[in-house]
Amino acid sequence: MAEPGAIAAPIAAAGMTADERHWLLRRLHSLSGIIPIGGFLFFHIFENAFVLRGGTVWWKETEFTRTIPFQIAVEAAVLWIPILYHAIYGLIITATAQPNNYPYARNFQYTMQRITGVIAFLFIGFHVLSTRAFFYATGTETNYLRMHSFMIDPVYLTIYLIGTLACVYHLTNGIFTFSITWGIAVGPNAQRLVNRACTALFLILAIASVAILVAFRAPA
Amino acid sequence: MAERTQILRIKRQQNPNSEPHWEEFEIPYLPHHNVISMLMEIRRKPVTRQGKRVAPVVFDANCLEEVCGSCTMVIDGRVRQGCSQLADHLDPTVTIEPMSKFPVIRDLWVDRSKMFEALKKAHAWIPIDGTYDLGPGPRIAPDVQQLAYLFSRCMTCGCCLEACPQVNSHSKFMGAAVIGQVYLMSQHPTGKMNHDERLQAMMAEGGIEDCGNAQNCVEVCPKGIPLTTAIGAVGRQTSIKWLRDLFMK
Repeated sequence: MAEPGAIAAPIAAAGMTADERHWLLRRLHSLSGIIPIGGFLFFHIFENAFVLRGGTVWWKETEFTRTIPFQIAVEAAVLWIPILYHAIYGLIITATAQPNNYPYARNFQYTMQRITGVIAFLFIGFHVLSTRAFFYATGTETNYLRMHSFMIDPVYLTIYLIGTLACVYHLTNGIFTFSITWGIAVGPNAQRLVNRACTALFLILAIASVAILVAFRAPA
Repeated sequence: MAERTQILRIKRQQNPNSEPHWEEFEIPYLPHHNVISMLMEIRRKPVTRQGKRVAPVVFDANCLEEVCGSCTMVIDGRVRQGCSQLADHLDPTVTIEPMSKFPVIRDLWVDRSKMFEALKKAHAWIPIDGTYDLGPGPRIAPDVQQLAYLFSRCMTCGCCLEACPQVNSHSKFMGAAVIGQVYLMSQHPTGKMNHDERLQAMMAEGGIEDCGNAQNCVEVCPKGIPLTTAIGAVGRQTSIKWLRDLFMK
């Protein structure tokens, strides 16, 4: 017997349904992690890598980030709103997880993605409050001396090391899961390739991040 | 020399609402025993190691050749079919539990009907009957047949749900099995006719977006079904459907 729904469904499919809303919210979460948040993290590591050439070069080369027109609007559109959405919806998704100990590499990555997500959420909150929000509240720029005083403090340095490595892991593993979610890497060979490339990317960004944090320890 | 024996620690539960408890049984070792034949041995003499006579352990089993999926249980912490788990590959003490992601009916017997409900929700079948003879369906290319065969082996056993961290009491995720079947139907020329409807079910809460890419499903599937390929492919199909609807409707 033909199911009545089989005939009616294509007619009812016009317009967005509650079902597609769920899909869209999840996909916005997936996309926002790469564009703009992931893109910004790449840029953030790149701009701060100038510190490897000394504090003066770093301050000069990052000058344009302090002279962006409509700065607050740009920051809100590119950073605050996407990060808040990704973080809050991400915590909602994390609440549906029940990690287990099946001994497979991907399963470990799944658990790590959730742990690093929560760490990244706390760290970014701390980082933004102590630098950008601090500037808007007090007018104090986070210049080399301020960063230097943070990084010579072992507590700050530890927080920054854990926080940045969590962010970098969350991003690179997120690029891999993004490629599955959107149907870019479909088969096992394609997924293995992307997973390896993302692991390599993690190592590169991790080394760069640690080098940058350590470079701030050099006296001005 | 003492007779070689096998000890079975079994998680038992009297009824769906009672608290589970553990009981231990000791049975003589026999070569080529499997978990189901060991449970049958207990059924013959339902006496615990402490010498207490108890009700026989209830379990579900049917084909005994790993094609029906009914004897799926958690053996030493790993989900699989009891019939294909040989005693020779186990430690002298084996722990057997019912699957944790399904309601227990009694002992090792669980209610897997939510998997059938998922298939119904996703319209995972192909309507072939009408009010008149529709004639033979279109022919299917051999490579598509080969691909479809992989997915047609799904026996709805529940391993993929049991091992999935996203399938649990506080999530609506339907699991990988139904996504595999949606992909299977999309490979069939007649099945394609209802594809939009199935994708819509997949885009809803509990569908493909609730997958967390832990990929345990493909590791534990006893039939080796490429479930993660189906998840990637159906993910792509929903991406295309959404874009198409956005610009075409």
